[in-house]
Amino acid sequence: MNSFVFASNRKNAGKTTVIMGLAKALSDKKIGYMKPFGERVVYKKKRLWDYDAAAMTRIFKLDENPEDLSIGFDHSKLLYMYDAETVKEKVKDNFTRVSDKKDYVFIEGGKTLYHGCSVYLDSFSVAEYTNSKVVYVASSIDEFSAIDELYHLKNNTNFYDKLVGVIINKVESLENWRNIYQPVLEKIDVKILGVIPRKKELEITTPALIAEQLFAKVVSGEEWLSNEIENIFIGAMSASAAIKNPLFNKKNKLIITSGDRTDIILASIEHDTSCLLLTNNILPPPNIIEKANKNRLPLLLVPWDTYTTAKRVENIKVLLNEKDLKKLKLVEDLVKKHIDLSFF
Amino acid sequence: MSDKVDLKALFEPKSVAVVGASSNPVKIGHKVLNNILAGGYRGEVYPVNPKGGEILGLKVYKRVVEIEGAVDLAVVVVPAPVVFDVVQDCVAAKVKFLIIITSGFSEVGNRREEKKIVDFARKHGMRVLGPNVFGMYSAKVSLNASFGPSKILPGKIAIITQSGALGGAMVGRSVVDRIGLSAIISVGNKSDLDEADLLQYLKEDEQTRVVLMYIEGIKNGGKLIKTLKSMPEDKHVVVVKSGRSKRGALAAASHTGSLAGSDNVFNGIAEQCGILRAESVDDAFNWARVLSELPTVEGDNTVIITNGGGLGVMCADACEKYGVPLMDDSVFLQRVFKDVMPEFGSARNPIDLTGEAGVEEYKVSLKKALKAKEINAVLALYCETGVFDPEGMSDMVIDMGQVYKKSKPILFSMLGGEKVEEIIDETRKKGVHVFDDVYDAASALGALYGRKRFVDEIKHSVETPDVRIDVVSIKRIISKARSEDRRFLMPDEAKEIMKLVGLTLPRWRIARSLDEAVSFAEEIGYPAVLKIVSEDIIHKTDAGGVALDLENKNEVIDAYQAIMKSCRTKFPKARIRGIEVCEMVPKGVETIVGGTLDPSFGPVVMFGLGGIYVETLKDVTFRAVPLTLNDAKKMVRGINAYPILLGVRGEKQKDIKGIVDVLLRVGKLMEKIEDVSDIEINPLMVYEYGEGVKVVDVRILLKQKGENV
Repeated sequence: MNSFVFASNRKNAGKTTVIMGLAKALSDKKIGYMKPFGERVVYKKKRLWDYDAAAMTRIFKLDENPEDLSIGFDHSKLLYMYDAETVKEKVKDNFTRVSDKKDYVFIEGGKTLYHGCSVYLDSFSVAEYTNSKVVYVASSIDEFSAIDELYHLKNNTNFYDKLVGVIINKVESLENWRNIYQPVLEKIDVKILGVIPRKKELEITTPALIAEQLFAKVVSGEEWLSNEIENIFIGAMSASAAIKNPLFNKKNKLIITSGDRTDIILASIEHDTSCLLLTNNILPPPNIIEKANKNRLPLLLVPWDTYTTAKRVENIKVLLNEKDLKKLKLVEDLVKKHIDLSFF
Repeated sequence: MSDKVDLKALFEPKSVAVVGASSNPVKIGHKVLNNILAGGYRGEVYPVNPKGGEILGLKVYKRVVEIEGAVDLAVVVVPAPVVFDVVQDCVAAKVKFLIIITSGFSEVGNRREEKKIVDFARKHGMRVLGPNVFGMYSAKVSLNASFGPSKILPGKIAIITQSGALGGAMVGRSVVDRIGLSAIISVGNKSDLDEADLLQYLKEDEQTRVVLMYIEGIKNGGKLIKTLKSMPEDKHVVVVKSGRSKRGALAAASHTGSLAGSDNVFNGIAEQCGILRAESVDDAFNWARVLSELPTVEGDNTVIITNGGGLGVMCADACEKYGVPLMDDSVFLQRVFKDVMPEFGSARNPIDLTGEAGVEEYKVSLKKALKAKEINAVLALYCETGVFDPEGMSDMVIDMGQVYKKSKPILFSMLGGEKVEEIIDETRKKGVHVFDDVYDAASALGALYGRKRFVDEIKHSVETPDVRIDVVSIKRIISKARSEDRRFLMPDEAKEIMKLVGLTLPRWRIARSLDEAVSFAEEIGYPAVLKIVSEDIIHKTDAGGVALDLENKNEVIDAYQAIMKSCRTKFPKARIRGIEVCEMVPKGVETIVGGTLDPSFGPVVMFGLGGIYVETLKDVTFRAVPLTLNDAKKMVRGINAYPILLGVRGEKQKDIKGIVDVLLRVGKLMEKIEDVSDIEINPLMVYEYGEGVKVVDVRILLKQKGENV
C-alpha cells in the first residue's frame, strides 16, 4: 500500500482536483482518502464534514463517512481536544482505518505548508505520522509563482528534501513552460511528476454552485441550475449601454444586477444568459419572473448590494462533485496525459 | 412650533386682501377676487396691486399697508420672486394669516426662499398656509378665496387636500354630487400650517361633521396623531393617502425597518386613530357623505331588502367584504316581513320581495324595517323590472330617505337602465343619495360600522396598565456602546436591556473561546443553542451563525467549529466578539415584535408572525407610541395569522396576554429611550395560554449620530 500526502503552499493550488484525477486514473486500484485538517465546512443536522471529503466519498464510493475523514476544522477545537501526542494517535488511528485493504491512500494537506503547525496537523507532520511520501502541488497561475515557491523551499527551508516530487498545475501554456520556465526549475534538480495545463472548462461554474456558496435563494428556474456559466457581467448601466458592451454579448454568462433593474433583467433574458443573480433582496415583478422562467433562466436572490455580491462571486471556488461527470472525465484525462503514473 | 393655533381669523376672517388682484379675467388674481365676491362673502374685501385703480367695482390698494382697516387674511397671488416683499408688507399691516397661492418654492427645490418667508412671518406673529395652494373655502362666512370652481354648496364636510389640482377637482365633483362642504382648504407645501393645525379648528367647528383629507406626505406625524386622537367621536375623518413607498431591504438594519414602508405604518395609524382610509376619491366621497348625512348605526343588525335575489346575494357578499354585519334571526324576519312577501319569497336576510314587488310593497317593508328597533340599518336594493313605476319609486325613495334620516341609516342602490338613472338623478337632487352599485353602498355602510366599532372600543376600553422600565440603567448600557462608537448593541447588552424592560429570556452566556462555550453549555444545560456574536453579521442564520438543539458536549464542539468557520468564510471582515451560548427554548408560535423610527410618525411598534420568513410573509401590524392596552390588543388581532394564536386544529389558545404585555413594554422603551433607532425581538416565542412568552433573540440599533426624527 502506498500513501501520499499532497501538500501546497497556497490556497486553491489544485490538490483536490489532482487527487481526484489520480484516483480516476488509477481506478483499477482501491483508493483511500483523508483530509485531516478540514477546510470547506458542511454542517447539516449537527453533522460536520469537509466538502471535498464528502465529494471523494461519493465519487469513489468510499466506505467511510465523510465526518470520519477529518479530525478538525478549527484550531480552537484541535487545541481543546488534542495535544501533540493525542493528535498523532488520532491521525494514525484514522489512517489505519482508511488504509485497510487499500492500494493507495491519498491524504490532502492544508492550504499551506504551515497550516495546522500549531496543532501538529501540518502536511509534513501528517506525512510523518502515516509514513507517507509528500508530493508538492504548485499552482502556476502567475507563471513564476510555482518556481519561486520551489526555490524558496529549496534555499530557505528544510522541507525540500522531504518532497518526493512536484506536480505543476494550471499552466497557461505548456510550450512556454517547457521553453521558458522548466529550464529554470531544472537548475535545482526538481523531480517533476507532471505539468498540467490550465483548462477553462474546469472553471465553469453553475447556478447551483453559486446558490450553494452564497446561500442565495432560488426564486425560480430550479430545473436549470446546472446551466454552465463561463462569463460574468455586472449590470450597473442602462440596458442600451449594456447591449453595446461586447462582454454582455458573450454566451453562458452570469448577470449580477439589482432586482429592480428591470431593463437590464429583460435585456439579459434575451441575450444568452445562464443565470441572473439579483441583489439587494429586491424581487422583480411577477411578469418578469415568468418571462425568465419561460426562457429557462434561473433567478437567484441575495441580500447584499451588487458590489459586495460581485466580490463574493469572484471568491467562489469551483468545487467538483459527483455530478460533474464531464469535468471528472476531463480531470482524469489530464492526469493520464500529463502525470507520470508509473511513479505512483 | 406650538401645538395649538387659533385659526378663527383664517376660517372666519372679517376682512380679506387679495394681493396680486388683477383685472384680467384669465389671471388667478382675478379669479380669486371674483370667487370671493360671487360666493357671497360678507366681510371687507381689499384688492391689492401696485398699479392701483379699480377691479370689479372695488378700489385697488397699491400696498397692503395702505389699507385703512385691519386685514385678517391676505391671499397672495404674486410671482414667487416678489412674495417676500409682500410678506414684509403684510407684517407691517399686521395681517394675521397668509394664504400663498404662488408656487415655485420647495416643490421645485427652492426651500431657502420658502423658509425665509415662513421664518419672517412667524417671527412677527403671522401664520402661513402654503405656498403652492389653490386657496380655501369656508362656508361659515361664505368665503371662496380660491381659483377653483366658483359654485360650492355649503354643508358638513371639510376637505383638506395636499394637491391643489385634486382639490379643485373635488370641489367640482362635490357640486355635481350635491355634497355640501363646510370648508375646503389646500395645504400645498405645508411650510407652516399643516393638516394637524387645520384639524384643531375643524374638530371644534359645529358645522363640520366629516373631514376628508387627501395626503401624500406627512411632515409631523406625531402632531397629526395627537390631533386625530383628540377628535370627538361624532366627528369623522376619511383619508385618501397616496405615495406608497418602499424601503430597500438592504438599507434597513432590521426586518422591522424593512417592513415599515410608509403605507404599512399609515394603515396601522389609521386604525389606531379611528380614521377611515379610502382607496379612491369615489369611496372617500361616498363615505364622507353617509357619515355626514346619516344617523350613526346603533347595533349590528343590518337587513338587505331587495326585489332581486341575485342582487341581494351580491350585496351580502359585499357586506362581508366591508365588515357590515347582517341580521341572522330568520324567525324575527319572518314575523316582521311575512305580510309583504309572496309565499315563494325569502324571509332570510336578504329579504327578497321578488320581482313582483312594486312601490307599495317596498314602502311597506321599509316602514316595517324602520319601526323594528331590532333592525339597525337597511340596504334597500332595486332591480328594474317590468312592473316598474319610476315616479312612484322616486317619491318613495325620497320620502323614506328623509324619514329614516331621523332614526337609522338606510342606503339605496338601484340597477337598471335609463329610467333608473333618472330616479337616481332625481332623488339626489332632493338630498337622498342612491348608489348605482351595491358594492359602493355596502362599502359606505361599512364606513359607518367602522366608526361605530372604533367608538365602541374606546368606550369599553380598559385602562392601560402602568408599565415601568428601568430607564436609567438602560441609558447606562447605551452610553457604554456610544463610548465605543457602536450603534449596534451586543447581544448581552440587548438582552440586559430586555431584562430591564421586564421581559423573560432564556439563560445565556457569551463565550470567547471553545473552552468557555463548552463550560457554559454544561452550566446552562442541554439542549443548548450557539449563535455568533458580531455587529457585522445581521442575519445570523444566513451566515451559518446559528446552531440549534445541541444535546451534548461533542455537538457543541462541532457546532462551534462550524459557526466560526462559516462566519469567517462568508464575512471575512466581520468583527467576531464571541459565541452566545443559550438555553434552547421549547417550540412555540414564532412571532416578531419590533420598534423603529418612522420618518413621518416617529417611534412605531410592530407585531406579526415571525421567524426567518417574516419579510416574505409580511403579516405584520404597526402602531405609533404611546401604545394603549387597546392598541396592543388590536395589533395582535390585526394579523392574518391571529386564528393560529386563538388555537387551530385542536391546539389550545396561545398566551395573547403575554404578547400584549411585550408590546406595551417595547412601546414604552421606544417612547422613553430616544436613542434607540430599531429594536427587534425575533422570534418572540409564544406558548399556550398561561405559559407565557419568551424573547429568544433580540437586536437593538441606536440612532446615527446627529439623526433626529
